[in-house]
Amino acid sequence: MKQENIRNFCIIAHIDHGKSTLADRMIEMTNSVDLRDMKNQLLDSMDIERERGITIKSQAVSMTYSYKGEEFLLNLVDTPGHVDFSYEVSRAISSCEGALLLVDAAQGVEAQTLANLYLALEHDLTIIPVINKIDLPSADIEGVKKQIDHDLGLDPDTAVCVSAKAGTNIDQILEAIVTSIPAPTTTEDDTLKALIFDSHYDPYRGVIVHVRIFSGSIKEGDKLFFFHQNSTYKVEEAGKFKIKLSRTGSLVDGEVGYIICGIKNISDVRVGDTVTSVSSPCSKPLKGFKEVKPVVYSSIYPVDTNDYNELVNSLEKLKLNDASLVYEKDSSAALGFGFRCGFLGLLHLEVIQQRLEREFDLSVIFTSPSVQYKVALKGGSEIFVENPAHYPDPSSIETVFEPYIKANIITPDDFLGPIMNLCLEKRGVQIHMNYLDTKRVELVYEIPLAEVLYDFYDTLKSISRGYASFDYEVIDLRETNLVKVDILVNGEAVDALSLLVHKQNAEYRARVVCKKLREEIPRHQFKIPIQGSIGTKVIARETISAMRKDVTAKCYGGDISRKKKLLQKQKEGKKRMKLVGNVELPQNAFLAVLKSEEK
Amino acid sequence: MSKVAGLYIHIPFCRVKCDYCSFYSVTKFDTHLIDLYLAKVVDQVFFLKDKYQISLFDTVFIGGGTPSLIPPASLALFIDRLNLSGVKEFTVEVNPESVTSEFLASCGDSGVNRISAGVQTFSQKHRDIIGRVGQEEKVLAGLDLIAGAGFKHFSIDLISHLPQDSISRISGDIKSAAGYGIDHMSIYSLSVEDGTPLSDRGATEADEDLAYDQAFGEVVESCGLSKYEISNYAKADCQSLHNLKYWDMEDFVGVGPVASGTICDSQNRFVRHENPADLSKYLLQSSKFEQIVYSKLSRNEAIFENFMMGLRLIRGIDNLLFVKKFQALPLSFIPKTYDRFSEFFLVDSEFTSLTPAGRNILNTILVDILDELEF
Repeated sequence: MKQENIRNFCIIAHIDHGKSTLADRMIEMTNSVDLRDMKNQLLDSMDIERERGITIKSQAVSMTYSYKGEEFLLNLVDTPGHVDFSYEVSRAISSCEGALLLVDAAQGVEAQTLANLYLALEHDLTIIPVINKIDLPSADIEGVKKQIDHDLGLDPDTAVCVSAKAGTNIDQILEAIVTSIPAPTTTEDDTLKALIFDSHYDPYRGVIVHVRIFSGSIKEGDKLFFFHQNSTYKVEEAGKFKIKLSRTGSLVDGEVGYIICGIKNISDVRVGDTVTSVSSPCSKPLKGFKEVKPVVYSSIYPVDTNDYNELVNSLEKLKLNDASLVYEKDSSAALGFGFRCGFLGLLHLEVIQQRLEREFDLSVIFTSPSVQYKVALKGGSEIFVENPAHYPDPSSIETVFEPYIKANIITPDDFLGPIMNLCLEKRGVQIHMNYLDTKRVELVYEIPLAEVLYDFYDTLKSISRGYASFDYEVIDLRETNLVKVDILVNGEAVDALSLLVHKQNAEYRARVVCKKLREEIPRHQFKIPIQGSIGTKVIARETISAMRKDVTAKCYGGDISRKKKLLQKQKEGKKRMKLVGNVELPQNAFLAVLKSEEK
Repeated sequence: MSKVAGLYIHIPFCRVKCDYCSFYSVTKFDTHLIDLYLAKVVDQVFFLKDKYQISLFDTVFIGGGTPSLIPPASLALFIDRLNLSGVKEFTVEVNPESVTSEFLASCGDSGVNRISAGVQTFSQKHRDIIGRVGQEEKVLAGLDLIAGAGFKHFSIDLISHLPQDSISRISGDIKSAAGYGIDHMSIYSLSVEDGTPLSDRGATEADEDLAYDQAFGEVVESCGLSKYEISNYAKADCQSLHNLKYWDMEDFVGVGPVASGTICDSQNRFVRHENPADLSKYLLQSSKFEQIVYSKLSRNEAIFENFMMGLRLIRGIDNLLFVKKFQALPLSFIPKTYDRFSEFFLVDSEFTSLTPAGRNILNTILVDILDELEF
């Protein structure tokens, strides 16, 4: 295909505005996939993605579209829609020339749309506004057009009005993609420069690398150099995405496609890396590469210690497709053997938890998420600690440093007060505040990362009724006053419940955890004290009173089988609990440290 | 070899289904259907008697449902055809709101010597709350009829821990019941079963209230009735012999839809038979009763059931009976559970039982036993 007939684009949208449905309709309309292969929302291929209506892993697909007698190749690069994956979003965006900006006709422009729009504008993408869900009775097309003009600064006349669900006006979008989005620019330079914007693992073929060629070309047999990874590979196969992989033998300047180079581990491929050729390498890599490092750590234990080997296997399988997941062995007195894992953020953690439970049918316990602290010890040495269990004796500590982030928050000014209060509560320092227009404000804060892990995003969303958007980057380490809070159940410290928190929040956090535990731990036939302590000083306490009655009132000859079944059920419930000392702790008790008090 | 066993006969008919009840019964029926049903029951009694080589039913319990809906003449004919003899205790359950003197006379003439009346509560307000069929006045009139009929044994069922309950409500009910000269009382705490109208309207089971439990226990004792099982009280020598068979895991057969029974065979293996919870299936099966589901209990399962039932009794598990079945004393099978809950167990040469506090957490203890016995 001629380069001027190629269009590379992505769809950016707020969660629930119908991105995946729209993608499906476009795939259908261009006959890129057989109808009988069509599942709803083809692009969201993971169960969790479909269920939560969000895309976690980017996908790509090529469609062929005839316009005025000419064939065009439309490459859709799908993007994940959550702050944990903002780096992946930026890589996906940078492999395109245009973007469909999807707005729900009933909901209007929302904050996340803005954050992503800015990201797209930063990369000089051509934006086509698309107003979706026009078939809804509550659709307000004129109102949304005004917002597109005023809030987004885009020309409302260029907006395409569609209903992805009903399949209305999808052809107009395809047409706009061809006519408005520029073809990939050609360069005189034929040195190979390609961007890795994603990768996935295929059990039979190894790692499939998703690339966008910016100059030069790749053909099977070529020897490639991966710039940041500093390694060379030979191309075994090259092709394009047609839902299934479609081998073409080569990829040229401007194209989006895949290459297979016999790479076994997904961690050997880094998103954002530049691919060039060994024979005539480019001098500089493409801009924007970042080393993706975990920011949140938590330990995973099987509820049933016999499931340890299954947990090992499951994590290995997840790791095949998720280069950002890192883990090492860990052990706990309360929970036995498990793994200490690093995640990109809390959503990433949650996704891993759900995949372990659903895809691998494992009951697992996650411990309180923590950031990585730098601890300067007396005597001059320094260590990094992200596991409360490894926190050194306070008397040996000189200073502790914690990671800070720069948080960008964009919000309608109606919610300014509550959001500033929230940031203050979270030990944030305001760097600046800037009115983007008469209504919208951009706030920049420096906040300890640990505070953001605990309940920041949910609270921000709830106090701004979903309008505030939030984006962050880790900036540096700063001195902090850290304490380790132990949680004692019936007098015994449960290591998996320990927390590292700022001294100022210790009492509050300990109280919340003790209260949650009181709700989650079933009553036993003895009284159970639950305490939060710093060293030997108790800072919070709750008590679970003894259970005195657990008996079936009526049991005669005809009831035996039924009553026995009920007891068996009760036994199964008990099996899913962890015995700590003499107390049975349900799985949910370990979640107590993750969630805040319900407001 | 011939056996002595208890016989339970289920009468699955009710005028109206009470809102709290989750037991199997039908409300659409006529006298023809009842007669057809009773004929089938007679067949099944003889079928099981033959199958298990039972020589004598020494206890008989006709329960329901509402047995007192059987026309008096049908009842007399039915009992005749069962050809019973040597029955020590013959109980018929009645609903006092609809019992008639003719029905009671028919019972008396047929050898019934024990009436169990399902009162549940005398309080009209609480009858309405739980949706119990029948008005208070009719209940009182029915109880007068029973008391006047002169049966050897008379038992009343009550329900405790009702919604909006009070110590005075349950105490008043106990005293009213005792006023009829009864020698036995069953008091069940209300259980709200899923799928019942009571559960659908959001009723929940009462929180534990030890003051309430203690208060009503004392009232029962003051009426001359002693607790002998978690929910049962009796005057001396008036404990239900039939129900004791369940709690001691002695042989009994169950006849009618949902009824089940357990028989210990010559090799000390327990065999259970269970009838389908479906009246039409029950009626349409052949004289071989192919709808019955038989299951053999594993040894540990049988041991577990012995604990589950026997620990309900105040006196506890009869050690001798237990050793005869399993060749060792009860606690020798559950050392771990005994170790964990030893403060709640009482053992002497005759019985293995629980303390009152232990009985209150019987399910917790049973779950550990279940875990320990692993079957």
